[in-house]
Amino acid sequence: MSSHALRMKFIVLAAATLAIAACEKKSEQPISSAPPPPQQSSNAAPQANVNEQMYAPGSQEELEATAGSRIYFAYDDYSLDARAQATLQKQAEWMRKYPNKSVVIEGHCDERGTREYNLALGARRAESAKRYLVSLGIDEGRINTISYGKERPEVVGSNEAAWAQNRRDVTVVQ
Amino acid sequence: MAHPHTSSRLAGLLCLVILAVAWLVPAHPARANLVVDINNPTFEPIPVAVPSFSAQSQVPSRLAEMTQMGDDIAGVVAADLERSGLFRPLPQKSFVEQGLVPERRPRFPDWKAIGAQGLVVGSVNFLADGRIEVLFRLWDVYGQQQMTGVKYETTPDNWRQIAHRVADAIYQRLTGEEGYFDTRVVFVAESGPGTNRVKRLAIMDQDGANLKYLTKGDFLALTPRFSPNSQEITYLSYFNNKPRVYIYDLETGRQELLGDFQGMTFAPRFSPDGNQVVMSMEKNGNSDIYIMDLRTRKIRQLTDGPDIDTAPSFSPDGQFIAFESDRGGGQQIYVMRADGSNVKRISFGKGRYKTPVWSPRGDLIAFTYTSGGVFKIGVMRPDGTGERMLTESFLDEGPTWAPNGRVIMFFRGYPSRGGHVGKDELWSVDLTGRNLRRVPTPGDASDPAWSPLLR
Amino acid sequence: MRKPLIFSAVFHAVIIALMFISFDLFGKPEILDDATVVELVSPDQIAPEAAPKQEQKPEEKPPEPKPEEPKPAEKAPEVKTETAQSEPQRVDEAAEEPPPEVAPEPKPEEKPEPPKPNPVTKDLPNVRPHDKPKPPKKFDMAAIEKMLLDKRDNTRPQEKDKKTATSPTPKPAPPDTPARSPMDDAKARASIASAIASQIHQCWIAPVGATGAETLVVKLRIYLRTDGSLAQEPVIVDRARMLSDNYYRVAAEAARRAVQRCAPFKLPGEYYDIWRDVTLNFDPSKAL
Repeated sequence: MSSHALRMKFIVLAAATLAIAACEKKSEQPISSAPPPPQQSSNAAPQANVNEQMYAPGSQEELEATAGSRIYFAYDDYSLDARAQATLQKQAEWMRKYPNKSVVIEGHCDERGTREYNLALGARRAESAKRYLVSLGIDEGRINTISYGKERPEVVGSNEAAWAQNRRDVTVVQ
Repeated sequence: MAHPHTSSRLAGLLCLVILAVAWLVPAHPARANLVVDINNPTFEPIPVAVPSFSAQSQVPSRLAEMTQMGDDIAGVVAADLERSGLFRPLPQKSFVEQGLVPERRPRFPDWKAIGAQGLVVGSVNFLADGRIEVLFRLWDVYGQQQMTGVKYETTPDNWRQIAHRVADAIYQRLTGEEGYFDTRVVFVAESGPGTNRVKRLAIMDQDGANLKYLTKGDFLALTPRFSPNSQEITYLSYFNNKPRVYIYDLETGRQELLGDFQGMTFAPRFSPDGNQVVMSMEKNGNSDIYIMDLRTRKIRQLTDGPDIDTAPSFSPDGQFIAFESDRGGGQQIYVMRADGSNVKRISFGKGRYKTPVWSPRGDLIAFTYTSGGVFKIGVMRPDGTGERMLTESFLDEGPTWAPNGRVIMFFRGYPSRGGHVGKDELWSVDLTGRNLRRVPTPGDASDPAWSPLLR
Repeated sequence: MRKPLIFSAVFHAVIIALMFISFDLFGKPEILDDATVVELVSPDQIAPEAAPKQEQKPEEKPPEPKPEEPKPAEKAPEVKTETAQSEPQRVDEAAEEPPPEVAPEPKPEEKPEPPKPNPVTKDLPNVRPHDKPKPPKKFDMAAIEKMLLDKRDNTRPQEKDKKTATSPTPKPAPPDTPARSPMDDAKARASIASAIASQIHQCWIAPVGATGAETLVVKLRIYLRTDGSLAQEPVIVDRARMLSDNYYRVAAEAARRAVQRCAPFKLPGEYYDIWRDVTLNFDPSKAL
């Protein structure tokens, strides 16, 4: 009974959260709203353990499989939410495993900003991931950053779902 | 009242006229003069007639070519004038008088009858030395007098540019503003899939003619801007995956990296004297505005703070720089002295104000504005007053001014649908917000920059 | 005393203008006050600045130091003014250049005073109705004369409100005005003014968005025949600014064209005394 109530509570809460998130998206500057975590690329994660051996050690594929290469941001935001931090922690693990590998973190934006500003915002996004990795003990010299602004979207589309997937950092093994 | 200057016959005649006028003046104790105020003009383009330029040739075999050129020049002139939105070229079919030549006065009633206010009569003549002579007169049909007339000599392959200059002269004579037809536009030509767009620098005449690609598209090219002498372009290239500001020399095709810095450099623009480039530089994720002296290659930081400061643009007198910053939350427009001092915010509206671009006339700053999911191009005075929005769409961005400060070009993006990337197009709009129209490009295009006048 | 002086000045100006004409290959003196054309005339200015650079079409490859073709020497589209016969034009010019501060009287071959209704005015519905309904006023001449001053004071502010500050106060009617009550007169003037304004409005293409449009108020004086046609070319009052300020000249010419395009005006013939001589203030300041 109590577990049922708890479950109800959770569902209501989740619905409310979703509603708020949706509202915030419509109201034009959801600066701090949590980014809807796109499922797509993290699909690889569950299979990771199973398939680990299949990837060349230290390869991009292995990073994607073991840690995930992408983290996502809210509109016009560059702060790292819990999910992004978790991904970066796994990336840091991976980097510790391959101490002679370095990476480039690409910062990307959705199409809803001006070109110049998005270049700057992409740089901020890449930098915040870099800072976080450094704080986890990764050598700064192993992490390069580049901003692509809105020039290289992950998904072609002019809707919230597409924009959410495009507001991202991609960690690329060099 | 005796006039001593009676030497010339003409002068004597004039004397008589003046005396006659004088005679009338005292006899006229003005009756209560009715004063009428008219402050409600029509917004109608001025009807003009641009018949084909008549053809002559000192080399008989070239006459046919000249005849064609006479048609073509008139066509380019009429198209320029029409595109400005301030003129309405009348259809050739409506012309009554035929066979006009600049040496003869036109039959004004014929032109008045079809409503022409201005009449352009020109000729093109192939000269013995292989050059062509183009001359025209602009007639005031109502006043029955010539308003301007110019003769040009050039090589035949330059005819198009001459046609633009003719249009400029007409535009200037009838509007008081300098023309802008003899100009070019540099822009980014886009192709390829949405996730991996190919972006090449391209340049064309203001009317879309003479398109040329300046880069191959191996690297992303963004935000090109002309130097004041139109001979160089500064832009952002992702050459070797390092986004940096370059200068492209149109004459030699040579490119030059503008300082090798640790972080990204972007959003470059020349100073009005062409000796400096102001741009953003990113250091550790933070973007500030810097200025580089092109002669000494010394760079100086103009803004400093944890915010995004970008899209700097000089005032035409070189005294001030407008830029955008999110230091107050969302992006707003700020103006500072060219040395970085005296920063003042000038935009205070609800939405976000971005990419300020100072008018060559100095009186206005154009900008990109976003609010409620739409993009607009607007203008305001440098003190922030007089804000007016000129356009609105899903994505209107990146204004650039015609050299006369009268017309703004920008790019318009359309939403992507069904996995197909939305078009990007160049558009222009008059300062009044009227005459919004597409600028023809062969494919998708963005980031336009208008050249100064080419002469 | 002043007149001879003015005449002398004008005379000299004309002489100088004539001298220019004789050198001016393009025939019309108008050209000379067109700064750009004069500027363009000088070939030594044109030659260096013109096209050579544009000839050079930029090449794709950065390493290549030079585009394929060497600079062709020429290109400079030289620009000069050029011959045209100068001929009967003089007539227009004369009309164009009245002494600046005194507006010349139209040579009225018509006798203005007893205004006869003329055919053109038949269809002027919006003017007449206004002044029709006041026959009573006419009989008490004495009373009206007494009130004359006050009436004027009443009418003037009204007119002024609709006007920009630039318009001068109307002068009192000269004695040759047809008998009409001041009230009638004021009303007639108001409705004639609005009739003229609405007719010209349709013909007036203002210099929209011009630099400093708010300062481009053009004062034009026109003289009309009884049939509403122009007795002479409209006179641009600020002749000096016309010559010195490019934007003003364009605005003034646009105003003049508006009048020329709209003429003949459709106005009630019985009020010819009112509209025989009209000052028009073209104010494009609200055009944006």
